[in-house]
Amino acid sequence: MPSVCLYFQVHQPLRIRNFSFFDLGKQPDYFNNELNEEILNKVSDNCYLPANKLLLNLIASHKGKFKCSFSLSGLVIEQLAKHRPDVIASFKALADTKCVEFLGETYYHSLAAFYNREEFDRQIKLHKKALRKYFGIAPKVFRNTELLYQDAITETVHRNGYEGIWIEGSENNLGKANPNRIYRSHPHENLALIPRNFILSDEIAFRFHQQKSTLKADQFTKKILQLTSPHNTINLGLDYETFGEHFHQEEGILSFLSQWINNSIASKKIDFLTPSETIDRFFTVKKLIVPHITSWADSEKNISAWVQNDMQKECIEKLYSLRDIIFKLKNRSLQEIWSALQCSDHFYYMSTKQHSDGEVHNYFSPFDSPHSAYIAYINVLTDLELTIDKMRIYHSA
Amino acid sequence: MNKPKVLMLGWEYPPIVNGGLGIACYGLSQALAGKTDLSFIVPKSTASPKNMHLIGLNEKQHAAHEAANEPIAYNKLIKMHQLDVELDPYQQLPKKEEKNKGGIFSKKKKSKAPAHKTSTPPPSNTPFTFDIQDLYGNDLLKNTSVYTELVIAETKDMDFDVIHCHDWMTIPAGIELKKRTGKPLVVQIHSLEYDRSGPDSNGLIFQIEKWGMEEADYVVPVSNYTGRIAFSRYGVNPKKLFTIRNGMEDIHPYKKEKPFKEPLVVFVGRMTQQKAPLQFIEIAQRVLKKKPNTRFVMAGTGNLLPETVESGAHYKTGDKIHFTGQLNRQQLFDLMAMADVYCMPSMSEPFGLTALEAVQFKVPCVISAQSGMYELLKGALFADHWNTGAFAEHIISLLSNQKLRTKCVSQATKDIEESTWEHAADRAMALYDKILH
Repeated sequence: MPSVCLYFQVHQPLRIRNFSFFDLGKQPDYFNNELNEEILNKVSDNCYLPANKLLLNLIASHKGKFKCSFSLSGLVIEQLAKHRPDVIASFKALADTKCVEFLGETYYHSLAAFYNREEFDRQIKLHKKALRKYFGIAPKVFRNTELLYQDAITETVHRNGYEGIWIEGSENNLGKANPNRIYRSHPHENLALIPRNFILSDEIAFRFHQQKSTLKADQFTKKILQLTSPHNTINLGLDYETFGEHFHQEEGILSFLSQWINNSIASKKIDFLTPSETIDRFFTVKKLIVPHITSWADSEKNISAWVQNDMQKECIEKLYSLRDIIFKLKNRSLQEIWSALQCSDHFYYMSTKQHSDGEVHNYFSPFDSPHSAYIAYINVLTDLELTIDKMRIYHSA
Repeated sequence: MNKPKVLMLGWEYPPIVNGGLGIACYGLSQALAGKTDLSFIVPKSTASPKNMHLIGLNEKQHAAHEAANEPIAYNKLIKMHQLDVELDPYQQLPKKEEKNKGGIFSKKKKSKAPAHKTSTPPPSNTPFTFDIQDLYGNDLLKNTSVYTELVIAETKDMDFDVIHCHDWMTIPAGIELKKRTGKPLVVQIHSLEYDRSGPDSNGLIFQIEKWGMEEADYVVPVSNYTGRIAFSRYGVNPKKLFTIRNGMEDIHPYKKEKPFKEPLVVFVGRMTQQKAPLQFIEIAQRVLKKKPNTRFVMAGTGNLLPETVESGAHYKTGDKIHFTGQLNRQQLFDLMAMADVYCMPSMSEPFGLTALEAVQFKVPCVISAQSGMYELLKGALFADHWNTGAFAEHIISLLSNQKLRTKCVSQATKDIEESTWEHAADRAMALYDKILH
């Protein structure tokens, strides 16, 4: 039977303040705590809580026939635990149904996979620990930040015991291969690759509500049924914030979700599987060789959303160059600050892309321009360096 | 002798200041206020200075349009259309609701509509409103013509002996007034299109400046340097030139501890071609090559800011060259109080008020030889604006040679002793006297 495999991405960065030259050396907080809390509350109330409740009801009413998966970044778990334990509890309730799988990822939603293998490994482990602590589960399938992928990262993922990894179902991963299958990675053949069907995913994420037309549940069910053969799995991956935040409840996004799920199950032509079950049922022998970095972002679907212009390159290189000294100092709070600065969002805001990709970057950015985002970030790094220098002197004295 | 009645036309006035123009108009008018019967018309002001009549057109209640219904005599350059629109300079445009985003570009915020949301287009058939709030908004030319109309209306019943206008934005109004009243016209030049756009400038603004200097009875450059440009580039009769140098605000300099130990080199100015910010990045790279433990601050905004920021990043020196955006006075002073060298590599700088502030803060200066400072400051180091190597060497010398620093600072302090607004006002009084008697 053909199936649908769903995953929802849940992430909120720790946005930094508009940190100026005049803030250097004054030891102010780097992070914009008020804004972060405000957004967290807004998204919790508009999306996480109502959508979780809806999914919980669907799981109960379909008696195990509806299944899905979540990927929560460590940063969002940490923020929710601090400010919104009610949301943590509602995710825990979903985990307890056994119909919901949680994916592994990097704790800080970072680009560490491509900048520091050791750091990548550390963050995978940290994230695993957080999932155990808050939801009592051990992840089996991995999803790297923003579906960033390359053959070179499979080694670390495999070593951490994962059996599969999500990738973007785009040509730069698949070539001409069918996105609705499960493949093997290279060189770790036992690691399964789950391609995200981005055309159907974007149908909801970007095109649910366009001008005057709204996507109808039966239209979407039909589109999926057209694609299904017994050997096909439709893998959908979406930002969870699509449901209630990017599109508001009044636009009908939540009722769309529940109607579509109800319709699909009622059709009896399709079922819902978790990523692990999907791998079990659809694993093929075909290998995908991906020497270049790919991702789900922008029209280029590579790493260019985060690392393309000189500002992004300078910041990310400088950040990782501080790793050794940060760990040598053995100062926990400094380590955490440095770690949170790895969050890919900071570099995303610095993108100078134009047109529709640029608009999406701009929509998410708390800064008035990519250059302001860069200036604030590089000032923070400068201040961090000044702090490190002071501590070094203290340590050597 | 009766006090001369002076009508000044200006564009900026504190607290609404973009550059030297507003500061200079303020300093000069304050010093002249007791000596003359002074009226000053600016597009917008919130200040109410003593002893002078400051007219911010934004605050006035009057039937502007009726009064200005006669066609305006722009017979020479601009074909002026009677604006067939509802002209209401006092109506504030409703504030757009915007996400409060952080950063140093907030002046030119776009509306932030999420990618998938249809944004509401501006309603058509909106009557034209002079959004005077943004003096240098999209249509500066239109703003100046609206200003001209309003000035004509405002001065209908006004009595004055001399018209004294500042820079090209007020030149059409000054000429129009001279035509209507026959009163002598003084055109003070704080900066020219030649300074802003380089030797190839020959656009409408250049033409307006040329026209204004031709029509003027006297042209008042803020330095002999600018006077030479007026002569050589605009063909102004040198007999009409009468230099009045800017004074400076009496500030109380102080020193402030830096949050780091490295020496600090500062650049202050609009990020435009004239101020050569990209040149400064190149200078900084040369300094960093020899003295890697140096920091730089670039204060100001402008159309070249993004490119300047990106070129700093290109060299991976973003943690050495800091950008602050536009600073308020206090922040500027704090910066000067931390600075070890002030650097002004402008392509062409009529005066260079900020350098005087640096000198007051006892900061040694490295300045473009193409500037009004060249004839004033003996105690500064100069280089031709294109010579980044020479700038870098000067900076390195000042950072490594304490004797040179002291010498420069004490000489420069002497050089600026006469740079007072009182002195500038005396010069202006001498000019009015020459014109009126």
